[in-house]
Amino acid sequence: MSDTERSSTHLGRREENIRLGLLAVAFSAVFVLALIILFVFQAGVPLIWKTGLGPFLGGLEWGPTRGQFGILAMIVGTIQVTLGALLLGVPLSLLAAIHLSEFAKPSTRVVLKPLIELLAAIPSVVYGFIGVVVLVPFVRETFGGSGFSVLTAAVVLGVMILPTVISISVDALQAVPHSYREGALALGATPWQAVTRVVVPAARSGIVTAVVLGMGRAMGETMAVIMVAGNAVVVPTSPLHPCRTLTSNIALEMAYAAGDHQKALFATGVVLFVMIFLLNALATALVRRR
Amino acid sequence: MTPEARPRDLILEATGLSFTYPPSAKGPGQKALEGITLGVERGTIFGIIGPSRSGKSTFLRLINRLQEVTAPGQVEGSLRFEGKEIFDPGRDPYQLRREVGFCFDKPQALDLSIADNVTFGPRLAGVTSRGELDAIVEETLRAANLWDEVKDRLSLNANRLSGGQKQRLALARTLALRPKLLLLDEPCSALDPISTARIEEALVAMKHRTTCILVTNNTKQAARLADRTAFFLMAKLVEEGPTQQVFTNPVDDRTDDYISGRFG
Amino acid sequence: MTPETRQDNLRWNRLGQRLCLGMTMAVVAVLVAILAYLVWHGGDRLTIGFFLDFPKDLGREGGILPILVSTMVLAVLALAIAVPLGIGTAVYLTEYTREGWVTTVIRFGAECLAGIPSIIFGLFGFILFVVHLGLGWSILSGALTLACMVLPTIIRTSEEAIKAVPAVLRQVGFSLGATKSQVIWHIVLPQARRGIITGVILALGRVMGETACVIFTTGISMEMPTSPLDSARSMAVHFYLLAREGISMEMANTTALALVGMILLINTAAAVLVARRSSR
Repeated sequence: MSDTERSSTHLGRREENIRLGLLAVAFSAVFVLALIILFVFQAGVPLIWKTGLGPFLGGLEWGPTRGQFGILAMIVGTIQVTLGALLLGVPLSLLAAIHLSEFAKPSTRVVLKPLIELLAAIPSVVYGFIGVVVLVPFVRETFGGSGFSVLTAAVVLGVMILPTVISISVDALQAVPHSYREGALALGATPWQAVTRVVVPAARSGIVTAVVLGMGRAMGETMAVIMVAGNAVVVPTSPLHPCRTLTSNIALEMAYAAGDHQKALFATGVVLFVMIFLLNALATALVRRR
Repeated sequence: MTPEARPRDLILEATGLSFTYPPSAKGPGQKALEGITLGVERGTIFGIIGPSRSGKSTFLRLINRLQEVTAPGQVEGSLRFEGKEIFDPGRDPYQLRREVGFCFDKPQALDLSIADNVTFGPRLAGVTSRGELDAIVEETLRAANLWDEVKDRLSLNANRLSGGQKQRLALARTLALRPKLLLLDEPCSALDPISTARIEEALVAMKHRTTCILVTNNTKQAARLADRTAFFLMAKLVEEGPTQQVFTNPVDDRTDDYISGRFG
Repeated sequence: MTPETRQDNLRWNRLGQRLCLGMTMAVVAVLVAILAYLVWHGGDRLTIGFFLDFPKDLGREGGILPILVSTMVLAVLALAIAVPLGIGTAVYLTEYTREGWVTTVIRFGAECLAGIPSIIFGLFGFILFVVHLGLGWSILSGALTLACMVLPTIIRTSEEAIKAVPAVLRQVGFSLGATKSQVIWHIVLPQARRGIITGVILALGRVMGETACVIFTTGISMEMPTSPLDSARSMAVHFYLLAREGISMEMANTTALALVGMILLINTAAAVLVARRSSR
């Protein structure tokens, strides 16, 4: 008895140690998140206080070497480019997702879905490059201007969010029970009516998630945007004007920034972080309410 | 010497055993077993019959303490394996599970080769010698009536076997630890008659070495195999006795009704 | 229903389905067009020598050997850090705890992390690893930053894969005398390996293609790295600099083709591997 007792408690202690080790590991993501908030905010927030929240967010002058830190143009640029990307990418994605989930043969679907997901594997710099060599000249020759513009950036980002939005939307549509479709068809609906009136509404929370994730990706994208958006610090008033996003602002100037200038870039990061956080919170609330 | 006169060598003894699931938000804990008292004699096949949710599986899962892994609850009364209390706080459940094997209702192959499936338990228990492991593979696959079908493809992934073969593999995997007691939870419920027959042959052939407790929904199977049979109904033991007697001349009317198919 | 409505419905049905098909084809066409462009403009320079030569004249001539090595080391190191943490987290979430405040906090953390843009990881990696911890612009700084970035991907895919392992297999393990950790190590993880590998491959692709956070943590040195504390240049960064600074569009094309080719090859290899394992 004493023998089994010892082995039992020995094993028990070992198992308990493993559990505690894994618990510690499990907090790694939370720990990293805390570190990011701590370090990025610590570097950025003091400058926002120094400048003042209003002037920082609402200021049009960005002259970091002269001590002018207004990022309104970048905020507007980010919003315009993101909305443009959604305007282009979401309808395209939804229609493609509907095809893949509802109308394509299963054998076609298993080929096409991974193929489309490969789009996500292409690095963002490559999208930017293709944008520069193909899209920029096209926009310049067709619509005029330099070609480096809100429109070009929106198109590139619209393509970049396709795999995310399609993939999650297909999963959401596929999760709708088959009986919903059969119910609608049994009442005389055409397949198109069944999909648009029954299946898509039933999958809406998944589709909202897909759109929000796509939006987050568009808003956070850096390198592709730098390459095609023109990066001028102005509030664009036409889709053909160049613009600078929050992310580009950081990436363009980090290489040589120092002192308050560098802190201002961290502050830009803080604003971006908060915007994306609010967006995600909003989306979660939307999905939960339904 | 008649069987009745011989002192019974009990490998398992339950006395007033009860099991209650923990209370949930929906209501108080449900009683899965109530006051079970019975003994299982070494070297026999002990059948347990009864409708579903009568507590048979829970009883089986208490014996090798598998119940506490999936849904721990409150145990009362006593359950002794070879005279020692199973729920003794100092008892090593891992060692207990090596001595008390368990065969599940649906065939389950681990995603390993046939040979590695069989040696899974021994390897965890610390057997490393190649020769010893090979011997275990052959011995247990023969005991489970599977050797002739798989001896040439022991490195094949076990998931490629048919359902009936997988179940015999599961039996061999359990036997590889040389358990003294084998718990079978409706082992043939997912099998065709031919596979069932092969499993049944194996059980009968090895019962002198390995005592079996066979839970089954199929009363005819209990009648064919079991030396003694117990009838469970709604968490209680209704009656227990030599199989012949339980099936032909039951004491309790409910046993008669169940066996003759009036409910169940 | 009037005949007109019926006609209308059928017309919409046909139109809608065709529209969906057309959009799907358009998406596939984008993929094909990108790949075709890269092959067309960069294919002829993509030789074995390109991978085995050192770059000359800022990358206008020669190959990408040190850059290729740096990319590999960076990716392997980042995954070596992130994969154990990610799988460990997934195991804890699925096997060791019921849903409660602990899982809520961990899941919330992972979800937030997944939503953070890579440029913010770049800022974070720069300020913490490069500056505060004094690792400088180095492969190690870059790998740590990338590990933080792909951690949520690995957690999510591993968790899904582990959840898909049937509960009864765990019980088979317990019934054979295994402890909880043995059940996880010998049954659950092997059974879930397909999903886990897929997640790791996904992460590998992201790590290799990432630019924004690598450029601020690993730097842009074109030298062959000799230690994890050396600054280095990844293929994505090299490509970005070639194209952005207008050094050589031809070499940019070839580098992009090599990078995309490698990533797609890894993805396909993983898919094939997974498919073959499952049929064996």
